Amino acid sequence: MGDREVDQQLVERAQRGDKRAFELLVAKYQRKLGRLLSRMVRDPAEVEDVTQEAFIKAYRALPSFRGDSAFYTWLYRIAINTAKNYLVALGRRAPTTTEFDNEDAENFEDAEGLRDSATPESELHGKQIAATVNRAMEALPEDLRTAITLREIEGLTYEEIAAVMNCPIGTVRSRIFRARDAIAAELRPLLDTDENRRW
Amino acid sequence: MNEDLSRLMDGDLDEAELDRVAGELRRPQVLATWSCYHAIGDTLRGCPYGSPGFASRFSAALAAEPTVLAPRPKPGTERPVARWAVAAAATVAAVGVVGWTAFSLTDAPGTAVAKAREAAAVTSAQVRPQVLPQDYVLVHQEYSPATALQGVQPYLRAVSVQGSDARP
Repeated sequence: MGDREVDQQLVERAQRGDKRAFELLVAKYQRKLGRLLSRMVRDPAEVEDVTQEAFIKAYRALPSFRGDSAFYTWLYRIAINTAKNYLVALGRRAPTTTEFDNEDAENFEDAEGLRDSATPESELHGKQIAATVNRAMEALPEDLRTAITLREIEGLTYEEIAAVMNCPIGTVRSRIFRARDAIAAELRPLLDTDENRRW
Repeated sequence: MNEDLSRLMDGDLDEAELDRVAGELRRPQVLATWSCYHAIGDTLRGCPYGSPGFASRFSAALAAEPTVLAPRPKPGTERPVARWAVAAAATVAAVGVVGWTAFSLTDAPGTAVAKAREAAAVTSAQVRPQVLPQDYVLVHQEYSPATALQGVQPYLRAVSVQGSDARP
């Protein structure tokens, strides 16, 4: 099962009335969507407002989502339209469609927009999180660090990682989970604070 | 449970396992762990962290929304099969109509020859020389299409004129 199939399963649960399933999708894509919208809406507080509005619009439109495209591609279009309407309502120029074509939905990696628009406070918070994750990664045993790197950065499947590391898939599954759990133990206290902090 | 979330992130859970995990999704700790795991992945991929309180604020906003209820068939299973079935049925129907039309318009060669022979036999048996009475023909000769002036015959009288010998 790929990333798209996982999303589809969560979408179908949300379509059957499971709001928590939709919250899992929000937790998964909130940073990616916020980073995208920060290229259109510069103010960090406004970015968060537009992001939340886009997710709410997507939730209301769930009955019309039939899975013809990936969930994020569909969500991306809603977010772009939400941001454009927001800017038009404020009398600002909305970016043209060609500035945000559909390829951005899958291949958007440029974080300069968000860095430019981040407040000093949020930028410091982001650096703390990055430093914590990097420190926790360095503290991991070699096999756990390799497994989670191949998964999260290289995007390999469990089968491919098992072939690269020459170990059973069950071992890969366990190593990736243990790596995540160890990093999360360091990161969670940082995430649980500053509930009112914005982008 | 956390290992199940890790596997769900990587698409390693099947439908039955997801059903089991879905029962645990209502626990706030599950959502926090899920969000934390994704934050780790985003950070490793160089995606700056956004608002730490976003999820909780969004939860409050989502709670105020009416729950959507829109069950849909899976895109990868039912609908492609249905499309395939409709296309196949349409193809079979088209081939059937064309085939039936062609079959009804064309006969087998043997049947056509037999019908031709039968027709010839019938013709030769029915065509007989008609023998009409001579007086009947004589009486009705005025209606014959061979006559140039049909219907005028009764008013005509054959007159023979002889030469000067006939004058009184």
